[in-house]
Amino acid sequence: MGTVVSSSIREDTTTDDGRASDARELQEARERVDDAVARAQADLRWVDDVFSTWKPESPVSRLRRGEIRVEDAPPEVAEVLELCRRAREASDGWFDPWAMPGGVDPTGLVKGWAAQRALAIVRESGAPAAMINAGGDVAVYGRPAPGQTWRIGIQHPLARDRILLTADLAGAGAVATSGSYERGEHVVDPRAGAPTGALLSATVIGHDLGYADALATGLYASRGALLERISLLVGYHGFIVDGRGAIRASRGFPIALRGVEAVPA
Amino acid sequence: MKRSAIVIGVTAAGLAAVLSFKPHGVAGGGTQAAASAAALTTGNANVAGAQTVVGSVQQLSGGLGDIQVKVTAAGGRITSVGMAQMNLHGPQSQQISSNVIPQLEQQVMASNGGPIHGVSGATYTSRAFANSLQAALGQLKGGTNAQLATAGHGNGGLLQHQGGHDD
Repeated sequence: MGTVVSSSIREDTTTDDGRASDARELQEARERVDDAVARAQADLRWVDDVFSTWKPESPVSRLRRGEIRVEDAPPEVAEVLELCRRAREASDGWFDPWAMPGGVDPTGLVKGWAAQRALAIVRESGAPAAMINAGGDVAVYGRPAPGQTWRIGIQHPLARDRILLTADLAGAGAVATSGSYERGEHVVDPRAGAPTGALLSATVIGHDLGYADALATGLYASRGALLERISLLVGYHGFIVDGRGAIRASRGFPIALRGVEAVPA
Repeated sequence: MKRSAIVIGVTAAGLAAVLSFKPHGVAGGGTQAAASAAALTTGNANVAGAQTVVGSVQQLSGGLGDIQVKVTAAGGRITSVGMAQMNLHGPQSQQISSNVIPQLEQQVMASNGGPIHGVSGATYTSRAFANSLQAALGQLKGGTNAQLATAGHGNGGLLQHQGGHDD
């Protein structure tokens, strides 16, 4: 199993003042974006090679087995573990990579972190707006078209061809969903050390996808207890769908999620 | 008036195999039509001159169900990738008695209609997704201008495919 990552990149065929771009301008912009996409893909592969807990020889697998120290791994491993420490604190311990069976497992944050990183590579290419979707965790910047916002549908946990809610993201923002409905049980309660099963899904919306991913994992594991804490985080919102299909959200959660803004465009 | 289009690429950063798919190609003309997507399709499916193809039905590992990928392309570039069908089994797929979700959804869709650019949900299983995507790309008429390459570990040959080229 793995993660499908898709990118949606805005391509303008007119300049800012409304003039149609000429063939050379279009070609140059496309080449810059294509080059950035290729580098983003290479980066995702590299992250997978370093952080995969499924590859026995990845630095993180070796770290888990105690064969190497953090200092022996690429510096990004220490960077991710530091983010994990902060997310553990922010989540009151509900996201805890150190409580996983088999040794430290930053997977709950890495997917979002990697996607946010890939998006930054695309952004540097000069593309006016882009969205990256890493297996259902979404990060965006810019506007999909002038005057529009990115509209992210949050999948219905039971009826998979339906959208439960939509989040409009103006500027940079992220949506992460954790749930058991697609892959079977995969989120572990750090306090019990066993898979949790009470919720259908947990979603977190905020500035940064790595952080949102970790909080969604923690929110799912907490069976909703983390909602209180998320209410206190500036720029973050969350909601859960419980086993009976009822929804609970963090305080101040806009019901239709219209215009949830992380960072202004 | 500024004209914009969204171009979509897909990568599967897999644990067993890596699939990279990069749209490549000729000018799409920047046409963008309104799409009303309530289903699990991201991107713009209603682009002028678009063709939509579906991939093969692929079983998810662990007997979870099956999926079929749908791809729309116009002007040599992929404009939308989504699910033609997704049938999942397992303990979570039983009907729930509460009607809380449908009500809320209806309310939101009514107040919030319009195109959906992306979908946040639980993780897709990449092997099945990639195989179905590959089959869909092979059906695009007139060459896809797409490259589907792999840097696989363990099953490198499985996903290898070159889309039709006309460049």
